[in-house]
Amino acid sequence: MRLALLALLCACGSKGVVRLSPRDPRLTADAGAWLADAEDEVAITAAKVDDARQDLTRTRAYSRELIDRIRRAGSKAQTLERTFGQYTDARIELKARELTVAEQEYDLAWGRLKEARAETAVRYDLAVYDLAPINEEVEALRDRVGESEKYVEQQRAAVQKLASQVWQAYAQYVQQGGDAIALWGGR
Amino acid sequence: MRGLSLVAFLLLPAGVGCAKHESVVKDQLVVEQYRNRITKVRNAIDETRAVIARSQGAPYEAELNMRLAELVSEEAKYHYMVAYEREGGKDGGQLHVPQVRELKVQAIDIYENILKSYPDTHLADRILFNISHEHRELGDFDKMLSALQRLVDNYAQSPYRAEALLVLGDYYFDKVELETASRYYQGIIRARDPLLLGLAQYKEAWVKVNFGDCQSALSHFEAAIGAARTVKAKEAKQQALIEREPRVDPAFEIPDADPRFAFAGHKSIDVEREALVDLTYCYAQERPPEKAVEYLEAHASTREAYVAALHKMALRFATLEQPKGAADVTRELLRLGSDDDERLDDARLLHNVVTRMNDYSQVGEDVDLILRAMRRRLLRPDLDEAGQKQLVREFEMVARDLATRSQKVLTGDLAEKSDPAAEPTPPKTGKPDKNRSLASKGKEWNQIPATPQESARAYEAYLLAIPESPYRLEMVTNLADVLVDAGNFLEAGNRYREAAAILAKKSADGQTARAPEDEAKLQSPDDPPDERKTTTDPDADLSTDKPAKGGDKKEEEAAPEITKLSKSERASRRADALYDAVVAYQKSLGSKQSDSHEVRATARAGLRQAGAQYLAEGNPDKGRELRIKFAIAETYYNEGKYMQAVDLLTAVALEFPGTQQGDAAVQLVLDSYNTLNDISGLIAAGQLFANAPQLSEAVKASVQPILAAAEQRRLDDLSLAAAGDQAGGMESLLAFAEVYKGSDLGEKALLNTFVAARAAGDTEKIYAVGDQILKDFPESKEVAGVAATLGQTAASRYEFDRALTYLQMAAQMSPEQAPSLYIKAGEIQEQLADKQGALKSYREALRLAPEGSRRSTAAVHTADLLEKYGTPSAIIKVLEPYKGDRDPEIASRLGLAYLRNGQTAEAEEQLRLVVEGAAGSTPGAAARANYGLAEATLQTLEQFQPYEGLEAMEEAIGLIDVTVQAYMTAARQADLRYSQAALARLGAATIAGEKALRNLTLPPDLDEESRAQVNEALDARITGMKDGANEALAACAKRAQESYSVDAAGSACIAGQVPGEIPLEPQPLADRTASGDLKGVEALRDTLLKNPNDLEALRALGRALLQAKDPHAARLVLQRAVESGGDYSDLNLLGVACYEAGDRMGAMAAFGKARESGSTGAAANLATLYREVGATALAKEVMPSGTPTGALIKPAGGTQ
Repeated sequence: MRLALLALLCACGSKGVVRLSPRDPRLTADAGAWLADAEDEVAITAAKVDDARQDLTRTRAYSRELIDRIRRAGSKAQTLERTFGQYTDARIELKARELTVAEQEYDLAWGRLKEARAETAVRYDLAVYDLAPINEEVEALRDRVGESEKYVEQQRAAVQKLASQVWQAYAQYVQQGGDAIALWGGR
Repeated sequence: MRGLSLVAFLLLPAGVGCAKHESVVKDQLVVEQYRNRITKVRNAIDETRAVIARSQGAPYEAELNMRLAELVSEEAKYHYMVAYEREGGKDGGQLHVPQVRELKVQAIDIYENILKSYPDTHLADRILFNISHEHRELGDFDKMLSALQRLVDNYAQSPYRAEALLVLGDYYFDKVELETASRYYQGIIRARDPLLLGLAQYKEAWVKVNFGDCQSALSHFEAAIGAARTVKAKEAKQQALIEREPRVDPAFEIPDADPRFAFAGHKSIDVEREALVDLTYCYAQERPPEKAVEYLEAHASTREAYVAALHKMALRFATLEQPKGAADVTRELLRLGSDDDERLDDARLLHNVVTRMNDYSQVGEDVDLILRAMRRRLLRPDLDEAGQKQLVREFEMVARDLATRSQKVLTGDLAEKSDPAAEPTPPKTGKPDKNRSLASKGKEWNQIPATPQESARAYEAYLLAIPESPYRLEMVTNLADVLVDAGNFLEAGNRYREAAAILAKKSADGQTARAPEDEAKLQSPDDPPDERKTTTDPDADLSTDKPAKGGDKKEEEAAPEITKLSKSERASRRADALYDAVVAYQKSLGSKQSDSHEVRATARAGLRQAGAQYLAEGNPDKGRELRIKFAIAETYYNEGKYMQAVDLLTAVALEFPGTQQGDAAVQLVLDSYNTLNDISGLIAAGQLFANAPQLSEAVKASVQPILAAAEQRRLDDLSLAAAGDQAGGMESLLAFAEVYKGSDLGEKALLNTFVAARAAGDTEKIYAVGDQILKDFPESKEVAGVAATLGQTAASRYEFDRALTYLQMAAQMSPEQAPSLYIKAGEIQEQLADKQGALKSYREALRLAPEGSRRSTAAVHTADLLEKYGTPSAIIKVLEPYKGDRDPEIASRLGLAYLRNGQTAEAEEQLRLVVEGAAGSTPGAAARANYGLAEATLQTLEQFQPYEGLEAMEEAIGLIDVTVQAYMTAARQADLRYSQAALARLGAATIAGEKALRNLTLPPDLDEESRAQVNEALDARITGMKDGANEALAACAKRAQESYSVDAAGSACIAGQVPGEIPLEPQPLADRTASGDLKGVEALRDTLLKNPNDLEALRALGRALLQAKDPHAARLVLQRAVESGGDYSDLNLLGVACYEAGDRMGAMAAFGKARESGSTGAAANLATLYREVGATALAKEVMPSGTPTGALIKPAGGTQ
């Protein structure tokens, strides 16, 4: 995974900025470490995107399965199905938003790598760049992540609110003699 | 050529015609073969006779005759064979072949003639042997014995002797003259003839058997086996050698007609095999039965011999009623024996002996062997369907009997004794009847129970071999039970599910039909598809190769025990089976088995399926329902599928409150969120449980600390996120604070937001959040810190008025921090020329500060302020209470104040305190003290009263020296102001010294010459002092000029005048008139909050403040700009600000440095300032030519 990402870095690394290696002999150890950290950040965020995507897939699959189980419990569980439906939809939405954030963080990591390379190149007289637009681009990416994180938090709060409603509904359903098989499958 | 073609053409049809008449070439009849041989032998006889006739007297004549006799004997043999074949292979004794007897007699005559004619011939032993052979065939045994005895007696080294002994022994053995026979056999044994030793041992062994001496017999059998093996080994070796050598056609020789082999016939006997088989008789009698198999295996060289011996041994043990040996041997026989009916007998025997012994230690293999024998028999085509059914019925019962007995013994349900002749009559239900009659015939055996594993193996073998068993349900259930005992919980669970599946199929008539396909669908994903039909697959239909179908008539017929069950009983048993499956799977997951990933995955999947099936059937047992639901949920938890686990565990917790599992579910839900690091989820779940009315108070109480910790952790996470470089964190924190408004968490959230805002330099949030904290949490321990931070923030933004407000607020909130906060506030106030305010702040600091450095600092600040604006007595009033602190800063200031107040003695005391403890004082304190001491010494000098005598002169000179030295010491101190004053005031010491010296009265008795010398010396000294004073003034003037420090001392020095009094005039600032609340500079202030050294921002803000007529604030900003690398223009502006604020010395220094950098404006400003202090010469010196550029102070023509 890591090698593949590094290969990816080699292939896509330029984007208008010289691809400086952290092991470039013209750089100091600190500068190399900075670039290496930025490259690591890209790899880490890529892995997070994978994780988030898998998480979303698992959540979708489980949600379908759960609703299917409740549906099979019969007509008494219709209310439960509706409530759980909203709940699972909200959870899917939360995972989708988390995936969005992960993807945006990945873009940000790329931006920061580009910025690190450009600034290092300028600092060591290896190339000349107008850093302002690069910095602005990174700031814009960072702001975008911040905005998306707000949406994630909002959705998280919504999920928690729905969770409370869902379990109240379930407790009521059970008290009213609902089919015990709901949520557990078997039919 | 043409002719040939014609011939071919003519022959072709003939050839074709011949092809139509196929001649069948049959094998030559055996009789004809023998007849051919008779002809050949007859020819050979004739020829031999002819040769003999021609060879009379030749040395080989005996050999020729010998050959003739043998040919005659051979012819006799062929005649016999012809007759035998002609009669269709009838018994030889009934044949009438007179020519055979004739020929044999003829041969005997020839042999006898040879012996007579050639008594010493080397062929004598062979001839005698042949004679005996012919007599034997003629039935003339006495003559045979005579011939053989002659051979034995006379030819001890003959190769035929052993053979002769064997024939003799056999003869007497057949006559049951065993001792005689034994004697002959012993003769062979003693001779150790390798070819016949084994056979002789074997024969001797039988003699011993007949004597009833089994011990000896066994020895001889073993010896026979050993000898036979040796011979075989030698033969094999020779054969190998022959095969290795190059093949060469053997030289012509007379065909081997060694009569030994043809006669005795022992070549056809496999002594090794026969001995092994025959020794079983004695072994069973003499040796331990449990070693039998091992013994036979060790002595057998071929599988065939081994099996034959085992078979005989089994029979022997059975006869002897030795079940242990019989069991072992029968097992081995069943393992290795051929597929014939004898195996079925072996299987029956095995069942019999095992049940007789009650030894079920190998029951698994026993059942397997028995059923394997049955299946092999079934494969044979000679068994009709009825026979097959009968066979299966019989062995099903046998196997079931063994398996169930083993389980009963294992569980202690079977009595100790058992019927040795018990027939396999298991109860119809498959569970042995406890009241079953158990005979006590024969030996009583101690029960040896099977291990659970063995018992399980027995059931498995049963189920594999008889998939259509009508007792399958019971067998599967029993198997599951013993698997539980064996600790194989996974397989037990599978078997319980299989039992449930069987019950479901039986109930397919409409009650609880459940498609097996559904179960198959729920099979563990880790199971390979082709394993679905294995015995471990509970959903596989083992009765056929097809998936089971409900309502199978054949099944109904074959499963009487199930058909007897009512619907409700079936449902109940199915529920039991499913529940048992869940429990077994659960145990599997908790056992060592679960170390394997495969086992874990399978057990979890099985548990979920079995549990879901149980629940789906609506069984009413709530206890079981709880346990199953919890177990299912727990599988998801243990598998790391927390989302599913949380949902199901929450359902359990809310559905079964007050139960052990319900309470545990609560904890597991919280733990799941904790593991996922989903703190929000943890909080939500905690709140759900904490507010759930159905949960017990104890559970809620246990949730509370977890909830609190989670909330704290959430806050920490948000705070850490907000402290990072990603945006958006503070909003989350504020949202969190809003949620927990009024609580400790809310306060902490606000505080952390405040810290994050401070770190991010977000001024708006700093003030907003800070003010909110001060407002919402006035009692918080942190408010003082918040106010102080707000003050620092404001100060960093050069919002001095705001800073003062917060600092004073913080000082009021925190007595501990109050002194330093008041000092900080006082410093700002002092810089802004708020004399009263600063004094008040310093006094508060002084009042609240404990003894030590902070009190000293407060005192010093107060004193310095009073030096600028107050009087010496005011300073004394402030500092005197702290005299006892012996602080150099306080002492130096107090000393100077005393001095200026005329309290010289008190001044000297304080100043000496500093000077004598110089190592502990600061340069400023040392400079003050030294200067003060110099002034005090000068006062002493000025008050010197001359008296008559040389002592007065010495005293005056000493006093002058001390005073000058004191000023010089003061002048060498690091503080420019005091060193400059000391240099200026050195002249005063000179004046006072001259006065003292001039007023001296010389002794009257001093002669003129001496008087003149003294006066001359005094003049010289005064002159020197004056020169020194002038030099000091010059140095002072130079220093003042260079350091742009044209204060009172500097001005006097530049003017060449000695200051008449202490030249330390107060340097008060002008009053501040402008307000610090300046608009339009927020961005600059924000920049400076993030980077206090941002030169551009400092420069811009300084200019703005100057333009806003706030030179006091501008002075501070521009000072920072200069320190941050500002250029001459900044210095010039600083000078302007200082000038406007009344800080002339500061202005002078700033202008001076700016002028050095080439600023003409600064030079103009400096010149103006010099003029104002009276240093006109200097003003002229620094005045630039042309129009100055840059900011100018008003007197210099500027607008400031």
